[in-house]
Parts: sequence; structure tokens; C-alpha cells
Amino acid sequence: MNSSSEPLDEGGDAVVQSIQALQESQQTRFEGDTGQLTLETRRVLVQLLAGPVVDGQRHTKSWEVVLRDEAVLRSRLHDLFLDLVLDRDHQVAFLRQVVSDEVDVPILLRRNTLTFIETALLLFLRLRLTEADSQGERAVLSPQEMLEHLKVYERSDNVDQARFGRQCEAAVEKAKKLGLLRKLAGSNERMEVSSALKLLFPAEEIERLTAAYEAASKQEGVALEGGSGDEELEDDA
Amino acid sequence: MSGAALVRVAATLRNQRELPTWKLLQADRAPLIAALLNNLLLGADKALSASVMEERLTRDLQALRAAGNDLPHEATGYLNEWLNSGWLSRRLPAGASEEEYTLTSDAASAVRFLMSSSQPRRSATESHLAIVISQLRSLADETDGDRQSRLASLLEQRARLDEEIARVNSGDIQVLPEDRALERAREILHLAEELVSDFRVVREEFYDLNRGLREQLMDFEGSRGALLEKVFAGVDLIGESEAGKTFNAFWRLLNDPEQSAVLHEAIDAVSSRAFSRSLNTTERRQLRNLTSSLLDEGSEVHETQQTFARSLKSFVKSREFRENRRLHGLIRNGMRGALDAKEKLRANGGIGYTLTFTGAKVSSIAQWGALDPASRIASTDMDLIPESDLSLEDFASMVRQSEIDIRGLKHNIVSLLGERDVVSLNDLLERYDAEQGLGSVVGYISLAQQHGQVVDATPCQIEWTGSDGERRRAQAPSIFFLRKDIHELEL
Repeated sequence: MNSSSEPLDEGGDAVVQSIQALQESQQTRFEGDTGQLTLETRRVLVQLLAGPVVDGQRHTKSWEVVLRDEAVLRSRLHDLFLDLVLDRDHQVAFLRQVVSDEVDVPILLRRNTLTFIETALLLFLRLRLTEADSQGERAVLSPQEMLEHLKVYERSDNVDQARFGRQCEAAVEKAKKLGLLRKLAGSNERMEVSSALKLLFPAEEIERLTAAYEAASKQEGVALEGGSGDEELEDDA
Repeated sequence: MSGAALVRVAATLRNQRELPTWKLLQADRAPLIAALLNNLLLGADKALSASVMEERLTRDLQALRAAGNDLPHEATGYLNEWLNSGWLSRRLPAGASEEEYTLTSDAASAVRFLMSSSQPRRSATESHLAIVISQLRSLADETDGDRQSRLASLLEQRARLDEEIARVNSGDIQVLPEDRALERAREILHLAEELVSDFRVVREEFYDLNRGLREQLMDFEGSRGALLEKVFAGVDLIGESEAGKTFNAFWRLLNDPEQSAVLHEAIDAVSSRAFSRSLNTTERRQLRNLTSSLLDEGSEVHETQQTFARSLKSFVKSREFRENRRLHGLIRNGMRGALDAKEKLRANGGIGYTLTFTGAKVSSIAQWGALDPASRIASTDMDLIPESDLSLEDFASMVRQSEIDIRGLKHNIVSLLGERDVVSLNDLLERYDAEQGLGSVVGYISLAQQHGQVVDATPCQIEWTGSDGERRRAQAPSIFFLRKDIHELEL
């Protein structure tokens, strides 16, 4: 093992080997380039950072790179206190913020505040995914179905139905932007629920959300301020 | 029929009226719907991807409207209606990027019934009778446990064979007259077609079975149920079902090397007989492709069965169903919570819940660009533009060059398809100038993706002369246009 290389807990040799192999083939890509990865690996690294997911079915080329260069990508991401979540069965890869009690971890991935209607949509998508899963099928639905479902969450004293409709549509758009829904080829509107949602929104998160609802209904008639429907980022800390 | 039995039958039939088959027959536009479904999904294609389905349906609707039929809705409207009526099914196959439409077996039988009733009725033919007699005979023989009568029947058969051998030996060979041979051949083709439609029923049964089993697993509380035990014990529940058993027996026969050799030889022999020339082209093709189409359809069913059996086992083994059941409960719980809270919340208000975003946003001072106030002030100077010496024709040609001339390319393909059955990219580039250079090549490839065949695995060398007279060469995917798809290209 190269004495200057950083020892790693697992897959250390593999990382060193792949870095060495890459160094041999290294080419300067731009003036002053000191990077050590190949061009395609760098691109995939950036794609992972930009998020939300690398989807094996959609990004076939990137997916191959993720599988091939998993060790080196993981190492580079650990440098940034990020962890690579890689699910081969569902063919998705995305990043998770490293949480540690021992070191003070700077936060790169922000938590995203969801509005009430967005959380309702999130639950619905998760339900459809579970149902489809138990049928052994893929979850496909149309925006109409989502909007229909969201209707039940309209306040009974709401006077501006048009506005509520727009908010529901915005929630669907946001789900698309977060990569939770993806449009199917050959149809103007039918969408597939990304199986990444299983990993992003697991049982513990569902319970956490349910607790948040409970807390909200106990509040005396005050609507909580916060998320405005626009993308709003808040510090995790 | 007794009174009670009559009442029962009437009740059964009344219930059937609610089923998709009768509903199709009763529909206001039944003739149009049946004609459309027949054209789309009972011909060469048994399944169509969503985009192709919509495109073809739109085309067919136009054709019917042009002939004066009243069809007020767009293709998507009809597709939704037919899905809701249980005539079409839509699935997203594993690994596919598009959903796929197939005809349900109910709709298929309704359409087939209508189509057959519009053809000249098959009368009680000699070959029908021959089939019944020979089937009855062999049933009687094969269920006969009595040694004496079994032997008698075999001896009788031998006597008949001896007689025939003697006749053939003496040069007296009886050949079936042409008209009866034709009738037999058609009967066989008809039977084969029915076999293929049976496959559809079997496949649907597999789907239902799979869904039913999974639902039972989901609903089932406790761990030692009979169903679970069976699955754990490795019993192939799908293979053991009625549909499974029947299909497996058929599949074994079809894949038996001896049987398939017999089948092949027989098809070759029949195809070489003089009478088979009187079959029409479709019938001749059906005869030639008999084995392969049975194998194709059969292997699809076989594949479905295998996939279900496999995924069902892993569903049970991985205990995924339990996790799913738990999740289902949790989600339902969450939804109830949301409903309870809705009166207190604004739709676009936060509820103190955050989800980790999976993408990082990088921001840097380097992204900031200094604002140059001058760039905001619009100039008041006016430059005098010299008069252009471009003519209207020049403009027209620039416009033409800026877009790929798909119409022109389609025209080329259609006229070349008028001469041959299959046209490749090279054929097209040899015959016609690539008026827009690479643009024309790209146009052909894009047309092939929509209406032709693209074989990425075997790239080919292409050459063309562009409008500048230069000869260029490139490697391109192999593409083909087929005459049978010519209607898609016609303008």
C-alpha cells in the first residue's frame, strides 16, 4: 500500500488501486487541473452532488459509472461528510448527510421544509408505491389522481378553491423537481413514482410526520408559519 | 330444461351482462369500437406501447371520421373509456420506459365473436366431423380397461392399415381432393388461432392469481397460515393452479423435440403440396409461422408464469409483505393524522416537518457578477441597416434548411417502399441526394425510431453527398423501414 495514501476502514485497497489506476491514465482536463478522477467519474460525482438521485433506469451510463467507481466515489464523498446510498435492487443512488456525535460535521445537504399539502402528497405517493410493490408491479399514476386525492385535505372553511387547486398543482411540481415522480415516455402525463422514495421516506420518517400532524392538531387554532410553498431551505442545526 | 334450471341460466346470463364482454357488444358504438380494437390489437401486434397506441388510434379515428362516422372524442378519451370498461389493460412492464396496452380476454372474445359473425358461417364441415369421430374413438379406446375389446380395436386398426398398405402397394393412392384439403388446412389454422387466444386467457389468469395471492398475504395476520406454509414449502402455487397445469402440459408438448420435429415436417410437407398454393397469402404465412407464433406466444405466457412464481417466492421469503403491511398501516395512520389536522393548517403552511434534500447546492462569491449599470440603459442610436439583397426564394430556402424536411424524407421512403419490402438507410442514401446533408441522415434515423426498426447492435457505414457536393462517410445504427408499416409514413 502506498504510504502516503489514507488508510480506510473498508475497501481501502480498492480505493487506492482505483486511484492509482486513474492516476496512470490521468490527463489534465483544464489549465491547472490537479483532479485525479477520469472525466466521466467527475461528472457522476457532480451529478450525485446536484441530486436528487441517479436512477439506474434513466441514467444508464451514470449508473454503470456509479457501480464501477463506487469505492472512489464513496471516498471522495466522505471527504465532504456525505455518504453514498446505493441500492442495487431498486437501481438508485443518492447522497445522505453523515451524522456523527464525535465530530462536528459541516452540513452540505439541507433539510427541506415541506408544506402541509406537500406532506399529504408524499404520503399518498408512498402509499401507491407500497401497494404497487405488494402487487409486484410498478407504481404509475396521473396528476388527476393525485389532485383528486389531495382534495380531501382542503379546509372546510376554504373560500378560494382556485388557490387551493394551484397549491396542489405546485405540490405535484415539487415532487417532480425532487425526483419523486418521473414522467413516462409515450404519455403526456402519466408518471412513475420513483422507488427512491422507499429509501428517502422510510417507516421512521412516516412516524415522524404522523407525530408532526398530531402536534399540529393539538395546537389551538394557530396555523404554523413556515414553508411558503416555494422552495425554502433551512439549516438543519 | 327444468324450470329451476332455466331460471338459473337466465340469472347467470343476466349477471354476465355486467361483464366486459357483453358491455362491449351492447356499447353504442360497438361496431366502431370492435373494428378499432380488432385493427389495433388482434392483428400482428398483441401489445402496443402507449405512444404507438395513441398514434395509431388517432390515425384510425381519423380514417373512420373521414368515412362519416361520428367519433366525438380524442384518442386519449377512448383509451380511458376502454380501460374503465375492462376492454384494455395497461401495465408498465419491468424495465420498460413506457406503459403497454393489451386487449383483455373478455374484449378479445367479444371482438372475435363479432368478427366471426361477419364472415361467412362455417358450416358443419366434413373435417369437423372427422375430428369429432377420431377424438371420440381415441377417447373410447384410451379409457377402455377391458383387454378383450382393447385388443379387438387394435386388430381392427391393423386390418385397416394392412388394407391401405396393400392398396398403396398396388399403386392405388387416394389423394384428398383439393377443396377438402383446403378446408382441412383452414380448419387447422383456425384451431391454431384459437390456441393463441387461449394463451391470452391463461396469462390473465396468472395475473389475477398473482395479485390474489399477494393480497391474501397482505391481509393475512399471523404467521402459520396454510397459504404461507405452501409457499414456504416450495409449492409452485401458480404452476399448480388449473391454468398453470393446463398450460404446462401444453408447453411441454410444444417443446418436446420429437413432437416439434413431427410438427415441422408436417408443415413443410403440407406447404409443398399443390393444394396449399390455393391458400391466400395470409393463410400461407400463418401456416409457415405456425410453430414460431405458438412458441412466441407460449413463451410469453411461460415467462409471465415464471416471473410471478419467482417474485412471489422472494416476496414471501424476504418477508417483504410483512414490512409492506406495516408500512401500509403506518401510512394510513399518517393520512388519518393529516385529515384530523387539516382544519388547523394552511395548505401551503409548514407543519414543522422537514425532509432531507438529496442534492447539495453550492454557492460561491465567484457566482456573483458585478452589475454594470450602463448595460441596463437602452441605446437610443439607430443603425441604418443596409438593404438586403436576399430574395424571397433565398429566405424560403433558408427556412427549408433550418428544419429537417421530414415530409420530403417520408416521401422518399414511401416511394422506395413501393419497389421493395424492406428499405435500409443505405438504399435511401444511394437513391436520393441527402439534400440537407447530415440533417437528412438524422431525419431518416429519427423516422426509423418512430416508424421503422433500429438495430443498434450492428452499426453500418453510410456515405452521402450533401448539397455542397462533398462526399461524406459516417457510422450509423442500422435502420430499416418495412413495407407493412408504410401506412404510418403516408402523409
